[in-house]
Amino acid sequence: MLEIRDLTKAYGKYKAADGVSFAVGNGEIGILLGPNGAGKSTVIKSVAGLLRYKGIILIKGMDARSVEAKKVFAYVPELPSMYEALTVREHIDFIMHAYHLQVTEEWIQNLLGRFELLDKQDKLGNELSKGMMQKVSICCALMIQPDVILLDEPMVGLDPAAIKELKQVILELKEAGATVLISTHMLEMVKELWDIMFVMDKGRIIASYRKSEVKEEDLEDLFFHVTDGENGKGEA
Amino acid sequence: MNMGVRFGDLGAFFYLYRKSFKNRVKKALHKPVTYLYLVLAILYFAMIFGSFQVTFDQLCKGTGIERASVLTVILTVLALFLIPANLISYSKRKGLIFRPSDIHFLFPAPVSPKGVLLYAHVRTVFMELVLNVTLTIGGVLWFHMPVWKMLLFLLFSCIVENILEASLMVVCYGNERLSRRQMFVFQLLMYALMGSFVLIGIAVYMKEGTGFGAVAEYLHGPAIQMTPVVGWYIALLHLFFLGPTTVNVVCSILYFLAVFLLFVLAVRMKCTGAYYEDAIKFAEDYEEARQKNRKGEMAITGWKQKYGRATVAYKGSYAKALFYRQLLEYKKNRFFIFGFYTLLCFGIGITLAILGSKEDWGDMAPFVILGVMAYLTFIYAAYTGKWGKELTKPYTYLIPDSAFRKLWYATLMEHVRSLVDGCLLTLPPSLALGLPVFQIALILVVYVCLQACKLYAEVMVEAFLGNILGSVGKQFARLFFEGLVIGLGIMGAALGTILVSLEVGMVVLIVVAASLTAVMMIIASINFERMESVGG
Repeated sequence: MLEIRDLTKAYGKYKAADGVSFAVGNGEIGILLGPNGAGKSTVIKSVAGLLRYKGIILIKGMDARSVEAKKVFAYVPELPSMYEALTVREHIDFIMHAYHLQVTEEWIQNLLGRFELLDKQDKLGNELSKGMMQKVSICCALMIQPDVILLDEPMVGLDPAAIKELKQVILELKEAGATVLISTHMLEMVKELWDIMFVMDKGRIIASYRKSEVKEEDLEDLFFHVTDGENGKGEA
Repeated sequence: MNMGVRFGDLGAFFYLYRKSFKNRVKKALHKPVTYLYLVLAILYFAMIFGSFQVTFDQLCKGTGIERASVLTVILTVLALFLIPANLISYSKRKGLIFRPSDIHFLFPAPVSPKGVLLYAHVRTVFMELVLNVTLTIGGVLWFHMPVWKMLLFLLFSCIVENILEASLMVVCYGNERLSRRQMFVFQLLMYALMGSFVLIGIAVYMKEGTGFGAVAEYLHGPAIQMTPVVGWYIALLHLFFLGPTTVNVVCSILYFLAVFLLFVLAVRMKCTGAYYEDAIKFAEDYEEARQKNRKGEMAITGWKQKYGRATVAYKGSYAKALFYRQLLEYKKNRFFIFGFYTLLCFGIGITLAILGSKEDWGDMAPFVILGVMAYLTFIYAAYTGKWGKELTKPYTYLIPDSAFRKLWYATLMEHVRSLVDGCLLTLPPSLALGLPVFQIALILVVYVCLQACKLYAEVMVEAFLGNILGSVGKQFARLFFEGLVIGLGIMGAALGTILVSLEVGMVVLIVVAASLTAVMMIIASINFERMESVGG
């Protein structure tokens, strides 16, 4: 469960996030949408513990900044950055050390295989293409077998096969009871995944929809309905 | 050193160090250029060690100052140079370098934020260790200190000094109780600390004047040793190398007390990682500056270029458009085409004018100006101007024009800049010394030629060796070609001057340098043929 209560982040007088509150339950996939500059990245970086903020962020009921919360939390940033002098496999091994994970070799090989990284294990971080880095970044996040995972534009740079695999993995995480929050502009890519959607604009949540409530309504129509008009009709 | 850092975290950090170091060494050993750098580094260190031996022998004999005293002066200068600067950057939550990969993997990980600070600190320890080992060897060889004493100094520097620095760093970065305003007051205190050293220096200068004796007086003075933390460390150095005095004993005790208290404070302080935001900002600025420096551009961490509004009338098409676009960009700059180098040229020009007026250089005056010009051109690292950026833009290659014209118009503004810099460098001394107009014009043309030679040597090296050599290697290669042209030019100039006159010598220099530069320019134009360089 990921819970955000009254999150406010200001840069001087400008409020990048202004009293943002929402929650994504266990086994749910939340989608965070909004135009450029809406404040999505600020919310995401705050949840990942990269920014100072006012308000409360809880991961499985624990303060997001606590070490215990971080143990069950995974984050895939929009722009992956690799350690230049570490190979793909060494990134995985580093995550095992940093999160104190006990994972079998078979499990690791299976994960790398799903993202076509088996033959890239000895490549150094600075020898990878952007798409390849994104795959490593996703694998590192999945290594944690997280209870809460946050993916910021995860499909950017991925090839169609990897996108398909990622969608499958996200559904498997949901099945396993994990909380998934995805921030994206690629509505087409997430339309079959989402359970709950939050639309942000000017640092605020302006609408939220549950798939079970809107039924057949198209994700794109819902998004443009609230962002084109002054106010959303959803349960903000 | 355990500052509330869990042992599990240490495993992850050591894994990162170990693997990164091993892979870097492995990769470096595969490059032949590494062995060349290694030989150069060994030769350089051997030269430094040899020359310092002679210098310090002469200094000690000449001034009659004890060797231990000179060593203490050197260590004190290093302490004054390094510690206050570190304190100021830590108080601003800057100075520790995190890479984008640290932000991606380490910051969200369940590791102690204090441990993350120590991890970044330990990465800087290697250079400190090299410096301390050099000082230890130097202490024995140059200053004839007993080996046990220098080994004890090394041990102290590696352990106690690092505990102090790490504690200060954790306290400054990690504290989440002090507000921004309180931290600002702390920064002011740090600046006041530095200012106090300057004031003490001025007071000693007023009393004693200049010279090594006065400097030693300043650095051995009790006022310096009584300054908190930095001064107390200096007092300890004095106690260790020069023997006890009341001041250095008391201040050394205060130093150890400060180390203990700061260590306890750092361990007990609560830190949840609120500093990550500042660290990320600094990391982004640092990364931006690093990328620019890699491309040969001048960049200072955290400094952002501000652009104003400007317009330009394009008086030409095709490759000429590159020149006008650059002109527009320069017009938007706050200082137009002028920069630090312009200021440097002006400063040197004025200094030469003052020196030339005071001392009678006679017929040697043009040679002095020419010599300074050649030296400046040779040693001042070439920074890639806007032409370098043209090479990274696909639009440059799509313009329907010849590669040679693209190169010419992409670099034309650099020639204008060198003409301006040349005027500032040569006109003040030339006018002060009353050189004939024809001679002044020739000196100016020589300067523009030398700068053009440097520029095209760099473009040529970029074209053929850009993907093979690193930035240091490219600088060496550029210096080689530049030196070749300047050397041949000077030989021609010397012949012309001896056989006919100085003016003819300068014309020969211009003709030789311009011809060879033109050849380099033709070769270098290949850079503008394709986006991929020849070395790739």
